Amino acid sequence: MKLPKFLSNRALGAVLALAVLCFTSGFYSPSAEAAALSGLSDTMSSVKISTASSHIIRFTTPTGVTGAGQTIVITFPSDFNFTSKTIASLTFTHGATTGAESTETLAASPSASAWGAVFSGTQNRILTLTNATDGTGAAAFSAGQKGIITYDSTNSINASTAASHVTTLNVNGDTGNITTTLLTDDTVVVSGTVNQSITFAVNSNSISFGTLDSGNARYANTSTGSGSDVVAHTLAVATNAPSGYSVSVQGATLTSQQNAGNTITANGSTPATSSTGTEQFGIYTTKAGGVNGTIDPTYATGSSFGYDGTAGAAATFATGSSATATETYSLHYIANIAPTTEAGTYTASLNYVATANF
Amino acid sequence: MMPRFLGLATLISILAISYSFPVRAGTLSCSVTTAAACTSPSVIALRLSGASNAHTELPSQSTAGYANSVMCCSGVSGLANTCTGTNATVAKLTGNTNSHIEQNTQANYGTNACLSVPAGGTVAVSYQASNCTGQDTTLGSMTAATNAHAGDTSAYATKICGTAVGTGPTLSFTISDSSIGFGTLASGAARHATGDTLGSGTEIAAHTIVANTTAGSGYTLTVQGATLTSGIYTVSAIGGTNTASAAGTEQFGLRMTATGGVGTVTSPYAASGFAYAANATTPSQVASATSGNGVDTTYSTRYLANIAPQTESGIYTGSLIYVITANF
Repeated sequence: MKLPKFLSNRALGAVLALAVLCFTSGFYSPSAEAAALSGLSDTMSSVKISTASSHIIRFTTPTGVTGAGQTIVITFPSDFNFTSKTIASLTFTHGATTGAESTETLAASPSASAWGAVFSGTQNRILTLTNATDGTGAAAFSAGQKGIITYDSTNSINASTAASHVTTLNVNGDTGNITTTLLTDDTVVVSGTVNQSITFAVNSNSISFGTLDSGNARYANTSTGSGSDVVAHTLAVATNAPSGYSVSVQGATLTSQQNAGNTITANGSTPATSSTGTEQFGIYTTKAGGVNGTIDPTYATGSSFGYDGTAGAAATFATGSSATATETYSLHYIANIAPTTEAGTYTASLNYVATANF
Repeated sequence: MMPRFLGLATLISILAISYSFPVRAGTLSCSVTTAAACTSPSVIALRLSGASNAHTELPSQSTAGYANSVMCCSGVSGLANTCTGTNATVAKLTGNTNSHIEQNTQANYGTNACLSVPAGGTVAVSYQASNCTGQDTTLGSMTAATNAHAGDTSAYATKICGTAVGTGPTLSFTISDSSIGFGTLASGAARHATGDTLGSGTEIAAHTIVANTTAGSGYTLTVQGATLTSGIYTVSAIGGTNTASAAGTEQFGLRMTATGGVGTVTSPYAASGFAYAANATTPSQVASATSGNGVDTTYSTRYLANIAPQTESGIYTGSLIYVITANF
């Protein structure tokens, strides 16, 4: 068969050679590999307009980035602002499964061990990562792998328009878009008020020693007194005051109703054990419940009684340093008299006051 | 002057370059593969009993013998296999399964297998002899115009061809209220936040979040922020376990219900109790969609607060940041 004039044997050979070259060489390959990125997303820390936000950009590349000089280009849309953004605030990882398997070092220009990372464009909206000079860096970014590029929130300012915005990616010819949506406000502020509260209860307002005796200690109770140490009554306090509370006691010691000049001497601020035949009036307490109520030392020692309140001055009885559920104080009262203690009916009115510290 | 052979070579080179984009973003692409390999965002258009001489069934069927050969399509955002909205009939079937098929121009069978795209896009299915030149892709092939068996793309001369154009992925996200409140909290009864900030003694939606995307792989919705805080004091967050309200115990949590679209509430926020697993630095996923159909999902968001008797007095606030991330 005779070939047309322009298709001489020599020319036809050249044409076929070029055609083969086109279909087999690198001239063909980059285009043939171009495809759509998949698995695209941009996870932001805030979708509020004009607000700093981090970005975690994920993608899967069908082609990979395995040649020196090949690039990944991320282009944010108008109005996103990365002015003064530094490459130190970026990370780049990739891998077959999670995309976090291999971490690439980023530098101003590519080297055998680092990818180049350069911001460009208006307000640094374009980021170009250039493959390491050996085409590998930490590890080859092979076809089918996932990539993750992160921007921290420093100098990463969202656009000022509440609308959808499209960021474009070009990963060595593989392309894709990521749509994000910005809101005027992405925050829901939820509020509630906790009112101040304090509760305080004295479970009995009248207690008695019965008949005092210089030969035996007497302990108060809600009946006619006791010869043994018993709880006379309780105080219960609870508050949500952040700084807790204090309970004070105020009142004169046991005083004769027939002659106000006759009293039974109070133990004072130093607690003392029972001493029959000696005038004593005192209290000690124990505490149950709550978190951190502290009994004043005058009243804190079991079986040792103190009383440092007076008619004109309150004495600290207990304190709490924080909000607490109910703390219950169980109070023990003692009275001893001397043989010379004047006869009479002795009473004392002790005024307990709880104060919250908000 | 360029030699003639160089001109022809250049033409061949251009043809080679033109051919080099077999898969473009947004182009319908189909193949016959296994059902297991046809994972989201790909969709099954039709299930076949084999690679040739096959009966067919709808994508909604699950006959085991039809799982090894399915017409699987992807490449267009929001692609689905519904017969509503913007759709095209791939083939008409005699029934839901074990069916002969006919072309969509025939009128003998009443069960349709379809491909669809979001509103604004286009999708078309046609039938051509030998190849699908001029169309995006070949879905499969069939023996005749009607009363036909089906096969893979090479089984028969009559090809089932498809072309689709998506609208491009979209994402919309709104929050109905940015300031809600419990009112005055009490240790004796639960409080629920309301949009008027006064709170309620009964559960109520404080605000809604509406999400919508055509992104093929849907979206995730997260919340991030510290629990209710007043200075150094906090109302304890419930954490990551869905928990019923317990008056007298510190609790801060939320739950959601979803209506419309394909979005679903994520555990632990989906059950009848409440949870809050986020904090100031770590987000917690509250909802997601695994596909995007362009339909609004409305999340009714409900908040619970309980306090203990000793919860410190004060005005408590929490700033909860909601972020949506589309997965394209």
